[in-house]
Amino acid sequence: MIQTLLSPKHFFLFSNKLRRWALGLFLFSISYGLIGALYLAPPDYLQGDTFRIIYIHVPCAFLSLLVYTIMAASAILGLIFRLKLAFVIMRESVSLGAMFTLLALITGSLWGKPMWGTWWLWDARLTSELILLFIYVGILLFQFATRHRQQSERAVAILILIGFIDIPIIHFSVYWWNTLHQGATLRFLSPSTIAPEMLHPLISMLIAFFCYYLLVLSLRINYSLIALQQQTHWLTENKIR
Amino acid sequence: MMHLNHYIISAYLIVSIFLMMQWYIPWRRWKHFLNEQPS
Repeated sequence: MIQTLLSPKHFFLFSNKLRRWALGLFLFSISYGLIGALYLAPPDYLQGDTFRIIYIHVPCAFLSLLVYTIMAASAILGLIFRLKLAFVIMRESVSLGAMFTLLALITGSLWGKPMWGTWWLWDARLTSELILLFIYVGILLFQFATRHRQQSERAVAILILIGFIDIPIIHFSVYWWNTLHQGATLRFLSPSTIAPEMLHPLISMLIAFFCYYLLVLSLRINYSLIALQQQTHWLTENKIR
Repeated sequence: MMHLNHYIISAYLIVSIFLMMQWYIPWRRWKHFLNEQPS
């Protein structure tokens, strides 16, 4: 059942439809998110307008963890069910995850300088996020270095699963250690510690960044599937839009 | 009155550039593939 649904053919056709919905949702949420972030949200009583960096910093940081979690889930599916598509999702997500991690660090640094008075400090949250960037870069380099894809995919999957230990450390670092980085702004099980007029654009930006990830990932996966499945008949039979 | 300082402008600019780069590369490859398809 899973193998049929996640077959390259089904995914290829599904992703062509998914892309239109994701593009529409992306355009809507990024428009509202940016207007809300730069115009509708009032300045913070303590940080002034500089807090507006939160609207790009939090989505980047959230995506850096989410993409890695998706990669780890794909690695498990690939190793257990030997799904080609799971390995493709895993492989094509690495550079996107690395980009979100790098952007989370850069935007955090640009926020830290005016608020903390320093570009960088060896805080638990910052250090664990930097380790995540090194893990992403390590996986990318390993992918470039290994020529034989069939054999390397299993090794990459195992590498990703080992690196997954950093994800809960990043999430709980602000609770486990006494850090300068603030605690979670968005809480799913209890009320968030942010005013609604500031919260709504943030949720909108999170949706926009997630849609962006889906859009770019589906483009990359489709191209990768074409390379893998060039000889199969279903690709030439189906009209591609 | 909102005051956009250079930290905010730099952060939004850097994120926009990276997002556009990551979008443009696969999009260009995909367009190239579609152009190669027989109509």
